[in-house]
Amino acid sequence: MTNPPKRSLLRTIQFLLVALGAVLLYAYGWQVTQINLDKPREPQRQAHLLRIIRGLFQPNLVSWDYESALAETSFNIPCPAPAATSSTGGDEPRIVVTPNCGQAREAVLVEGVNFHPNASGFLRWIPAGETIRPIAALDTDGQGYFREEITIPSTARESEFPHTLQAEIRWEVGFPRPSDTVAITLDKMIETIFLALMATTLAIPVSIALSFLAARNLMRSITMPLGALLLALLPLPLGWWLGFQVFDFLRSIGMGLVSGRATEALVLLGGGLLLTVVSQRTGRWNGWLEPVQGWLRLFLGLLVGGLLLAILAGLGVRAGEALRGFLGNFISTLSDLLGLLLPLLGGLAGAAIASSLVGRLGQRLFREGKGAVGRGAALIIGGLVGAMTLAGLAAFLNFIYQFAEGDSYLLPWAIGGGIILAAVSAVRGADYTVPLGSMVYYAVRSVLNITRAIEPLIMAIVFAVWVGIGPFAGVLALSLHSIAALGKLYSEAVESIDPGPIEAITSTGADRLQTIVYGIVPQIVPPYVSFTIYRWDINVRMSTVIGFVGGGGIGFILQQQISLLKYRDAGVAMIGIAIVVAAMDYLSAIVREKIV
Amino acid sequence: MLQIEHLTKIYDPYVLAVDDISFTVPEGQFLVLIGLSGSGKSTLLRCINRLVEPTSGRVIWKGVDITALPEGELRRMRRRVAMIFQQFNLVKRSSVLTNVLAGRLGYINPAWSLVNHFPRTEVGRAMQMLDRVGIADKAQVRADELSGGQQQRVGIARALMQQPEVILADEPVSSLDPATSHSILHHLEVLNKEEGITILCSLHFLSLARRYADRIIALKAGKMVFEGPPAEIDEKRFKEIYGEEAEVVEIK
Repeated sequence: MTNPPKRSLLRTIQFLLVALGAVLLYAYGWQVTQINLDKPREPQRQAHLLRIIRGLFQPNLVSWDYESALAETSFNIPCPAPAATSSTGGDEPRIVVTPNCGQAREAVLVEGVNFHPNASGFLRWIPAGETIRPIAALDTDGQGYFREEITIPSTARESEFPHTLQAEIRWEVGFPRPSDTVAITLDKMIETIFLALMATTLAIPVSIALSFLAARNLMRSITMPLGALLLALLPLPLGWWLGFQVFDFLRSIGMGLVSGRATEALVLLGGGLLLTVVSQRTGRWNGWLEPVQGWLRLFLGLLVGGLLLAILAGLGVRAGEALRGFLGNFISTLSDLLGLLLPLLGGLAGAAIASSLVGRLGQRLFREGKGAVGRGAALIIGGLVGAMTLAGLAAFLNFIYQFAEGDSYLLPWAIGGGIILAAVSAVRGADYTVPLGSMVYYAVRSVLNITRAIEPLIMAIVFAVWVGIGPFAGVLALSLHSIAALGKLYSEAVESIDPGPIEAITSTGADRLQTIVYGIVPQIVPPYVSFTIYRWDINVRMSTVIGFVGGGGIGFILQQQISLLKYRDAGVAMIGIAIVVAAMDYLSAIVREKIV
Repeated sequence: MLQIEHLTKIYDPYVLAVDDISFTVPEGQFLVLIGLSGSGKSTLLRCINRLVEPTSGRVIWKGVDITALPEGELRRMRRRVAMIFQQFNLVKRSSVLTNVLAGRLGYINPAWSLVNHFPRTEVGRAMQMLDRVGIADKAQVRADELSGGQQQRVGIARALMQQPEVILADEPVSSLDPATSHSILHHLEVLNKEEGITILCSLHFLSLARRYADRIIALKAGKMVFEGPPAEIDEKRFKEIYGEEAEVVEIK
């Protein structure tokens, strides 16, 4: 039998210290966040709050046609010697001021009779020879009578002509119809939903590509010998530049297609297609040509493919312009985008081909030149790659910080980088295994995490500067944020898949692509769909406020109405947001249940 | 003929999973690997088709050193060395038919897989294989709707799609009940006897090993501790392999 352990004095003191610390922490937090009860108790603030709440709870949903009645009376400043006669009798609406003369800032009583019962309107002050201004709101009782104490405006001047007080009472006739605010809100809600849809859709392809790079289980196994990696990196810039130039040329041909360069494009395309067909039909080439055949076919295919895309882009822009309307705009903008992306695609293809070509040569070099030769080669190539990388980094930093002019500043950077990487590769040797996959994994993860940490509201401010205030800025901001968020969610879905089927598919002799299509894709489709809908849901919520900073959508209207103190109109916008968000919640739950 | 020469696998962080194992499997043999869990049976099988890269040693099949094959030739080799798994390793959300067709991926043009298409002849072959293992009627059912025994039959059909010369079976019946176990092993036995497919099969139960094996190899902590015909495993040998406290469990 053991006694229950006694709580020691030390433990008690420890607990008290922690509790004291917590009290201090919250007390300081209280001060930092300026919690106080004085301002909320000021009657003026309470009245203002009440006005907002009442406005929001009486959304300006419907409007009527109105009829109105006007009545006027005169008011003299200063009082003339004999008092003016006041009109009496009759069923006409009329107003009476007591007294009917006086000075500015004096309080007077205004009464109206024979107006429409239970209606409302305004009392206006029309100074002699000047513009009208409303000075009070009016509400009539069941008998069509109102009574309002007003103060003569301080700006009222003495005048030999009488000033006029005018009362207008309006009442609703006929049937109510949706107000203009409802129409505007509806319009903006549609904009909001599409904003979220476009942002989510644009983010999906990029996120999918990134998610594979940010999945630990796929990337960890990818390694590369240092020598081969260095050799693959070395020709990247050259390959990029060449590919970019070639595809930029193709783009200019495609884009100029309709403006008189059709023959040029057609001749090139015809020649390319002919060569492709020939190279495919001739079977296996003999002699020294055999190893080149594969590359030649690849080049031809890329050139013809690039030219076709360029022609497609050129035709698309023209067709879109001819078609007009939203569909034409869609086609021409999309084609324009394709044209802009073409050189980038060419650069990517060029870089990939160059590094694969040189890398393959290098593998042979390193396999045959073991020991001192391999080490020497690694040293030289390492030096070159190091110089190239740091010079590139320096150029980038200079682009941002503008610390130097000319190109001479690049030299020390290049030399430094060259020495560092040459030393590293000489020490490690060409056979050293570089965990390339893990490095890419950490790089992509870091970028995703940093991007995700920046709120879309902040991104929208930046994008609004670039593409102007409106929904397009919101789309870009939400897209960027969605890429980061979806990339992370997707990659976690990839990380949690069952490795068994991948193992099984690999064991059948399938290649990497087939393993992805048959072993990985079926497993990640349900979580991907589910995450995508979840993200759309979030984007709808976000797009309701992104308009506050110029990102378009309902938030833009809401912000305007709040700053113009039109709380009844703001109430309509809030109802719209509530309906859409609730509907999205419900719909996404249904769709997820159906698909997953 | 499959020759294993001084095969060693060390995992990182240091675990000596397979320790200098050498043996030869003649064509058409039904070889059973026995041993406790963690004795290295799975790693040994996976080193043969290089799902696990061996640390040292060689695997020579039909005169070719598998451990030295480059990527492309390794894939061609894997087509003829099929594998079935303890957890069946089917793609659960795909149909039975698609799972079986996946066994053919090494033979067809990878470009087809981008559009998820299989040639008609391959679909016919897959139906034939499903028929052979007796579940042709389940072709369109999702794989995870089948019972364990049925799923393993899909695994066998997938292996058969590869037209294998060797089947590596990694504890194919450990997740199954005794009756189903016999049915699955019977399928393998038929393939071995009628088509001459070499079979390397790891099993937990000695009684099953005795019933189906031409020859038994026993592993203990990565080392080979017994090699010979089933009849040679007596009480003393059994204790050597499974430890002093083990009792024989019979599976009828």
